[in-house]
Amino acid sequence: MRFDASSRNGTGRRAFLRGAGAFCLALPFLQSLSKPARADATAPIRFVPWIGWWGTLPQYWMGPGEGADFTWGDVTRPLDPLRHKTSILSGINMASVFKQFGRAGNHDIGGPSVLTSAPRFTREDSLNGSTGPSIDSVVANRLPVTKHKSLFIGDGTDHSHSILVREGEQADWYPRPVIDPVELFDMLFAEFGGDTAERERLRASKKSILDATLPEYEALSAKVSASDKALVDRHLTSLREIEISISAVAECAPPERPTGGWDGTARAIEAYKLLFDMTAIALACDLTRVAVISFSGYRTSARDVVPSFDALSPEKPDSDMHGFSHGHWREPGQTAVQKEILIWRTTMLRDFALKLDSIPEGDGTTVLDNTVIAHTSEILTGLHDGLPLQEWGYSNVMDDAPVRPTGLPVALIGGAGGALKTGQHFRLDKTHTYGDGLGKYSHGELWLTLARAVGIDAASLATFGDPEVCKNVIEEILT
Amino acid sequence: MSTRSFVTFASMAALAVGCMGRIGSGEDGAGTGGPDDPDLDPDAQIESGELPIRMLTAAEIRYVLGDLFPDKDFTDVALGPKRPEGKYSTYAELQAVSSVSHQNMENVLGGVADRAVGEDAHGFLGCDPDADQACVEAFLRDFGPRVFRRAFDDEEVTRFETLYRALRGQGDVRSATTGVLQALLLSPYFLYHFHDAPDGVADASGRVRLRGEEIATRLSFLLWSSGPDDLLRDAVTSGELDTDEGVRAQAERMMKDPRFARFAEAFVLEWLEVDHVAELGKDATRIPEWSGDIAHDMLEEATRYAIDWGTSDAPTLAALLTSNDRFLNARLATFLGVEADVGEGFEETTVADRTKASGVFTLGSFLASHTTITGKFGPVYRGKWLRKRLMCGVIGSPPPDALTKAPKEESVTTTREYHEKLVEMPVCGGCHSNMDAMAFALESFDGAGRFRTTENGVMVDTSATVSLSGDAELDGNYANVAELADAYAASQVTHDCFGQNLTEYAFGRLVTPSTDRVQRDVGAALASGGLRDAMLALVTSAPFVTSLDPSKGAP
Repeated sequence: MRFDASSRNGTGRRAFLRGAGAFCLALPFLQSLSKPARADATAPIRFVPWIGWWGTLPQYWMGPGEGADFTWGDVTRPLDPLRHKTSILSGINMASVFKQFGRAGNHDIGGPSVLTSAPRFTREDSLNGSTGPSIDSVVANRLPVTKHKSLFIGDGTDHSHSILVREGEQADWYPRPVIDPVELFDMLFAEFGGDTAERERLRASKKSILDATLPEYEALSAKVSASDKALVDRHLTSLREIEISISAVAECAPPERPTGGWDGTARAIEAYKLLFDMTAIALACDLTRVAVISFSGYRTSARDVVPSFDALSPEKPDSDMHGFSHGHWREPGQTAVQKEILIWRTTMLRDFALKLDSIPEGDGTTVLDNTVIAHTSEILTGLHDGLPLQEWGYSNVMDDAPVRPTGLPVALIGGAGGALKTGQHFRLDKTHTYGDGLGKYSHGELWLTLARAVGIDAASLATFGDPEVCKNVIEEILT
Repeated sequence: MSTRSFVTFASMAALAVGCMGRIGSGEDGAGTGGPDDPDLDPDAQIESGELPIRMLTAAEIRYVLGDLFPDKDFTDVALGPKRPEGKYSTYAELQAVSSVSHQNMENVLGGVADRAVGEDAHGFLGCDPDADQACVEAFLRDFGPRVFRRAFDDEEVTRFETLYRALRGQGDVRSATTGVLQALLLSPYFLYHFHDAPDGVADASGRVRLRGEEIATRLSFLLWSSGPDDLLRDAVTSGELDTDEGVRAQAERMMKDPRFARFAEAFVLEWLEVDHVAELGKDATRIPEWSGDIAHDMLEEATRYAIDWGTSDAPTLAALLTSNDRFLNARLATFLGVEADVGEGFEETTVADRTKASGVFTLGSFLASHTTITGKFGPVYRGKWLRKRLMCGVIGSPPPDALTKAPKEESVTTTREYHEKLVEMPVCGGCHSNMDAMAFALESFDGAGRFRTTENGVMVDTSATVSLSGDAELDGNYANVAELADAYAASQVTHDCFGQNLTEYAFGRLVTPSTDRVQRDVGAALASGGLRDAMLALVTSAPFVTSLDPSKGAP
């Protein structure tokens, strides 16, 4: 995988962005973040936030033990083949949400917050979103230019959330994940098909058409009112991103183009696998270095992912994936199904990581070694986190005593080029920085720490998150 | 909205438990600027609005392509912004184009261009560009203005000629012609609606009348979902559209044209939120009789009903809400449990029993769309639609622990019984008593829209209660869907809200009492004269035919 020297060199852009964020240097919280976590390495470093929607079953998330001497819970056990490349963080909570609402959130609160750690807003027409940029945008803007600045794939949920917010823009629109494997293939790999001459002709033609179209959007942007300009400028920004992607000459062995429609629950599983596989190839080929994977599994059915569904015989219809995440306080059958659904979701995560781990970089490392996949969720549990769990008979298997769950289900897979410690369970739930039971660090601090781990100059990260709950770096997980 | 209903609502809203409000008043009904705001004079001449730039809707793109290429079929082209939940496809604000969606447009419009040019590029251009130097320019000067819906300037001719030459250097005449057409279709002048800053003299309120060409475009896209016809272009040339009388005359003509059916179809289906019913799935274990054919039939029923209403002699809101004329085929009639003498094809039929035929409320698509996939919770979803889209109320989100507090389904026999329990619970009742209780009138239809007299062996009880409507005459108890439909049809609240919906569709943005007074005029015209009068009020309103004077600062 190679790029033109001009497109690979992101120094100027990064220097500019660092300058843009300079006014924030005075903020004290940045002092602790000001040291880059890693020096430049040869292989590109990739950043993959993985949003596993609807929380987890805390009693099945992790077993006893900590540090390197930890045991899996049933839900995390599928990660065992990657044990030495994985770390689990307990005690990460959404301090920004607790600060704003005084309690944990639901999907509509956690969704806009999960990647932003900034205050949420609700407009009079019920649209909700975050007031700050999401970490994928912040990181992608500071990484060297690749053909695609970032990818957003998966399935979202059956809710309408705005989880991504581009830096410098308002969260008044909903970026949607790519859910169709054919669409993702065409976006990533269509140009790699055919013979070289035809490919070059199509690329030149695309560039010519864009050259004719761009000035019209520029002219329009200059003459419309301020409120209209925002919409036109978003389109214009998209065109400029396409312009960069046309200019970036990439070489990559594409996979087979998927075929057909994706209706029906069984094909939904195949679609997920294709999406994840193609994303892995795009990361390996350096077509992008940032990918947000949003994965609840709601496009499939419980019967298709839980072989024992009929034996567990819950009363709920198998299509109600979301319902199972909430249903687990009701009756054992629903909990049993939800547990199996979560295990299936972990196997999908693991298979994606294994795919990355199967691709060598040429220096003895694998793509996974130079990536961090950061799994978390928008809520802790399907209980919407608002209940005293003892009321429902929960006991946390780690301490064998009825306690609150110990935070978001955070699993980091991959070492980000050696910047992250792996093979450990970090118990960060023993001290509480932002309130009773909220653990040592906020989820905003997790993102800032990971941004630093992938090589972002911490001083340039001031646009991210609510500063009051993004003060500290999680030194425990850095090498 | 009358002053009486403001007062009624304001006093009663204070009793609601933190979940009810009216659009523009904040979720809790206590925000500023809404009807509850004591500082707001409801008769103040608020008129700050503009029509924002917006992308053509999917339907508009299809109709415009049909007009541009009458001998080709582009009815399969699916492009354009998806309708956000609870909004119209014209709603501008959520139409941001990402690089992914632009590349999708490139692909789709590239395919359109390829089919439009066909195998004979010379025939398409009307000349041979290799032999005739002036060929491409002549084509652009003739065809460009039709694509851009406005005059083509010399710079644009030069830009697209240059593009043609670049593409011809890379490929043959056909691929170069296709590429130029693709670029024209990707232009903002094709894809977006917007107006240029007006250059006339501002009136006392600081507004300047738009050029006739722009008013013509607004009229034709609102009423026909496509560009102006020759008569409308003539009205531009003659200056007829420079006066409200002229605009009114053209709008009256256009509403008698068959193309007005496009408005009726697009607006009514989106208002009812049944435009996606053909893709609606139902849980096969609970509703095994559901099928794609039924879903398509339901879309057809709703479409025919909407068009028949919009193109009738006197389309009133009352007719839309109460008519007992239905459009059914034998398959759908059997599925829905409606006795009708119809054959395989769709036919109009009058159903004497109004509990089986009460306007939009008994459309299969409406009843089936506003429930869950398992067909449950109809009173919540149907009640939510009634409250939000028919009464323009705002409903807050459920509290985070709502689901954990909800009653168990196993403990009840009927849907109504479940929702009555829900309403009794303090954490749920504050909102649900104002939603579910209205929708009990629709309990004679199950989650797939099928008529029923019993549920799980128990007689269905359709008695329903409307509360906190803002209209003392609408608040009350109703025995069944027919009574409820009649009450809504007589209420000014319903007319005001429908006027607000029409305005939001036409303006492509949220309309609130605190920013616009247009929707009140539209609602009043709707109540006194019906849909056509409402549309005339809309198309002659200040935001539609004027713009703020840019010299006084952009809005």
